Amino acid sequence: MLAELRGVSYRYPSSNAWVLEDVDFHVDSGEYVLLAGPSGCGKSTLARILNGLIPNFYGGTLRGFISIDGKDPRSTPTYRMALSVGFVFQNPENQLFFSDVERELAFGLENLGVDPGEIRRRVEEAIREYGLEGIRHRSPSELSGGQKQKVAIASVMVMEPKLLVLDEPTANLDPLSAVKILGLVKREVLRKNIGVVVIEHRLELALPYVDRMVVMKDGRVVAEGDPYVVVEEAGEVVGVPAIFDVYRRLVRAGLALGNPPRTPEELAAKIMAVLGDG
Amino acid sequence: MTSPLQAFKYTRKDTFLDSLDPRSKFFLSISLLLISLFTQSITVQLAVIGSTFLLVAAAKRLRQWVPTLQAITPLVLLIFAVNLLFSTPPSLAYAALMSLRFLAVTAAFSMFFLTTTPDDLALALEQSGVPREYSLMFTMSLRFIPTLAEDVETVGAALMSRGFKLDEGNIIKRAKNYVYLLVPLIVYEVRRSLMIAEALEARAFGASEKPTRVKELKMRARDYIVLAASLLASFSPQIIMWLGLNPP
Ligand SMILES: Nc1ncnc2c1ncn2[C@@H]1O[C@H](COP(=O)(O)OP(=O)(O)OP(=O)(O)O)[C@@H](O)[C@H]1O
Ligand SMILES: [Mg+2]
Repeated sequence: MLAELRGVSYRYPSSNAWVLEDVDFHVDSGEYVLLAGPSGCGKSTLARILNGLIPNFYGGTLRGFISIDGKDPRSTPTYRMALSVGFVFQNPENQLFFSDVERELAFGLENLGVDPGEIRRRVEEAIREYGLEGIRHRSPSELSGGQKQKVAIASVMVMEPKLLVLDEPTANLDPLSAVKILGLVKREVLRKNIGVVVIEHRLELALPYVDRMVVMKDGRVVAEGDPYVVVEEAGEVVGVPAIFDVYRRLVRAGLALGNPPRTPEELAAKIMAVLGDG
Repeated sequence: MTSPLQAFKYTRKDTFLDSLDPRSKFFLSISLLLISLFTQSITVQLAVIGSTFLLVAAAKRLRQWVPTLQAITPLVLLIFAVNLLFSTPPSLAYAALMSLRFLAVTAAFSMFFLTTTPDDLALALEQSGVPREYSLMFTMSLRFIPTLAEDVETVGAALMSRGFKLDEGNIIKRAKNYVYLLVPLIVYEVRRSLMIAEALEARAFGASEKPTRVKELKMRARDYIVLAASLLASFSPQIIMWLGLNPP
């Protein structure tokens, strides 16, 4: 198992409420996991444990079994965790430190003391893979939201982490850019066999890509498994995406549509098929 | 961004000045500064401004450079007026000298910043022995100027949507208004800086005792030529005087 939490509870230093209670969670290599749940349920807190910001940066009380690429964040500084876990934050503005994309990509590797020749090789590779050629010398203020987030992901991926954690990476983006980012992450899962945990509120955007879905509520995991089954089960907690709502109504109205659709296109195709038969 | 700051902002171009090592370029600006500071001659001040103009023109940066000088014109006039009023006996020549000196120094340093990437500047600092933390502080403060400007707008807009009128009342009232703007802004920026600190840690900042640099600065032949020329130029007024040709 790439990362595993068993019976994990956590309390921030400034409060005496347990924000996570007895949480079990795991991700494997090559797996794309969606973490969902209402605001304040503890998703970001869980994500911070995965990359060691909790407890290294936040302090507080952390209990339970934790193994992330064999490391326990309680005895591993964040910069060492960064070798295994890449982290992408909601606001790209706060994770781009340079007025130049090339330098941005090099920064993490420089911090690790990687040899300049090797850095140059990996930066060039990332520029190619992420299609950043045209913007390699741009400053963040000259980039669109989607481009910024793309650079943020690339600047983490050059460090070749085994686990990538993204905390609402598309919250500031329009739906089209959001889908592009989630698709880009899918490509990385398939190509590099990394494990991914993504926190995303707009389920309909993420569902087509993810392999598994975990739902949290009030600091606990309340549902977990196949995304489409979980959406059905935990609809009350996470809300039902519009296409499911439409699908359910059509089924109730007597249309034999089969399995739930993953995308609006798929739903449309199913409807067309049924109408064609009739 | 306000125009005086804009005029110090680097834009990428491929010219002779851009290709120089930031250290030799800095020395060039310093020598222009020294000439300007040590001369009492209006002609020499004009010569400094004139040569800076030629250098900036060669670097194709006139479009950014001229607005800088325009933006500081009120200050230049103020310096002129103050010096004229308070010099005893009032001297037109002295006031002109002081205001031209200010113009010359701004012109020379604007040229430096317009043709040097913040990153190269940070590199130059690091290679002169400044620790990474400090050079990073410098690059990041430049990087976050547009972000800060946006935040000022956001906070201002949030206040105004609650019926707050920023530009109303007399000068004291307005100054107070800006204090109201400042408080939420500081809270906002402190929060932002915490998020930046988190992101820095997540990118392994501080991991290695010896962080590497993907790029290193190297002085080339052209840099040594510029150094020599700047050194010579620094003493040019003295040389001219020594030759018995007093500059007017
Ligand atoms: N730094 C902190 N100090 C104290 N309490 C915190 C801190 N950060 C979050 N909390 C509390 O912990 C709980 C879980 O917060 P968390 O940010 O993990 O939720 P979330 O699921 O990510 O919510 P959202 O969807 O709004 O991002 C909340 O009740 C929040 O108030
Ligand atoms: Mg959150």
